[in-house]
Amino acid sequence: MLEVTGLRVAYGGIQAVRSITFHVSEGEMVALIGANGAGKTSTLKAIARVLDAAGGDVHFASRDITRLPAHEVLGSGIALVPEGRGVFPRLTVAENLMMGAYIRNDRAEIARDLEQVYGHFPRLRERAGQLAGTLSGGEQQMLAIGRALMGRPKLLLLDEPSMGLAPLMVQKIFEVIQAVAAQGMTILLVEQNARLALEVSQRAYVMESGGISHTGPSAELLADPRVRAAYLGE
Amino acid sequence: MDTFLQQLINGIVQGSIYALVALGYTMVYGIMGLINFAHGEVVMIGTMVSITVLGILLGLGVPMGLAAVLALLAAMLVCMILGWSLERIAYRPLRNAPRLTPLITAIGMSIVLQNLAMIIWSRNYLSFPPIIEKVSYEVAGAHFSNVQLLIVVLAGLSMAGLLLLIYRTRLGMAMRATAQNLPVAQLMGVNVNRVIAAAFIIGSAMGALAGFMVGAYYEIAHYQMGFMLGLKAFTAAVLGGIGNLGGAMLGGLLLGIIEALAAGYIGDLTGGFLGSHYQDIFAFVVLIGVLMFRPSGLFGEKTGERA
Repeated sequence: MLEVTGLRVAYGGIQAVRSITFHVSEGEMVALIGANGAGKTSTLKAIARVLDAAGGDVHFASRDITRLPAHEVLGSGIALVPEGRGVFPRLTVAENLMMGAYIRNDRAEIARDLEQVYGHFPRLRERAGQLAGTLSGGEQQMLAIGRALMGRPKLLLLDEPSMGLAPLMVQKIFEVIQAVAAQGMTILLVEQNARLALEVSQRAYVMESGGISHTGPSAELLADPRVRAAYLGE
Repeated sequence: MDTFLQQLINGIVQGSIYALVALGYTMVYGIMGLINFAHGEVVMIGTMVSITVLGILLGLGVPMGLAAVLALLAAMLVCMILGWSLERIAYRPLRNAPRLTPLITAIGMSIVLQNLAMIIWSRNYLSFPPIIEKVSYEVAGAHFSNVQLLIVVLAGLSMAGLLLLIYRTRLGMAMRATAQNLPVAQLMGVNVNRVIAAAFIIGSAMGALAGFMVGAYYEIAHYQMGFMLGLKAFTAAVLGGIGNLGGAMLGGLLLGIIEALAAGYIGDLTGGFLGSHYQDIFAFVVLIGVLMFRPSGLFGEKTGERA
């Protein structure tokens, strides 16, 4: 469904991503793990067109989206939940969710999806009228995920959803991520918490200084002594 | 007491005009962090177009009321196109340039527009025909005219309309979202170029209205008039907290009132040494004071949190 071929990303003269190739099939949850600065976030940003690729191409549902204008990416079926959540701090929770559905006109279906998001995250319903900037970090993460779901994407890109959250909140968020995956959503998950990412995903790519160093089914990577030593702290 | 009430009324009228112009500054700043110094010139061109269209229509024998409405609409249309063109031609190519570059470009555009206006409308003072027969009212010893009343009412209505647009429509929500986080707004499918263009177009329409009002109020216009008006409206926007809509409205009103009161009392306070024609310095005393003691303005938050 998502085919990334020879993708390169550079900041000024510095190569953040050096020609990586990978794919995500429909219905899969694939993890992209690796140390800080390995190029995971840059990869997601290039796919979502927040950043321009320096080379290579990205195909989604057989369509070349490498040069798509950033605001057309969601319409093509890809939603990014950015690192650091990126909620609109001075919009209410409900307005943030409606921004997620900005490109849609089907009022009845939007209302249904809103109910579903509130079903996943009852806390958001309680805080619907509150400004998003006043939410806790975990609640903002819920909001960012809920907002992405409101766009009815076919592929969800999650960038560090566990970052800075208490373990209980991480567990809650990942329960929802797995529930969304179980409903058939295709997910590309970037995580620093490698163990967690490998536990919930089917396949994974390990990134190291801008390239892919290992790949395979998550269960195998979880058992691989090299991966365990480098990323699971053993 | 007479002076106080009289100057309060004058200040509210002048302040309504400042507020309309300040909104143009603050909307653009809120969304893209640019101080569009050419905005004062857009207002001036609004006045000039009004005069030209009024002249033509009155010459054709169109009744005054209808001519005034048509002149206002024409000024708004021209200014909307002008605002949009400024963004498209001058600022959009510099979207990713260092912040100083578009700022200097804005000053350059301001000079270009002033000179363009001088070529079209000459360097003479032009008179703005009286749009309605002036009627004066008296309340508790203070006087105000129907023109002043009309200015305050029109300004109030258009500001209410703007608030409805920003807080009750899809475009308004997209504008607020873009102001708060532009890259994420793009992720939501917002065409940021359109939102920025909308901010320029709406701000210019309000600027044209302000230009029409200035003309109708003082009945005189000059190609350099936009400079001082623009600086004062910018001061008003800073006073209210630049980037904040409510702040621009209140800042404009407040600045108008401060100026009028200062002008009313300066002669008494200095024993006649300084006259009311020194009123201009108060706007800049306010600007310097705000920048020194409360750079975020009355309603501004920490920088980086723009609305």
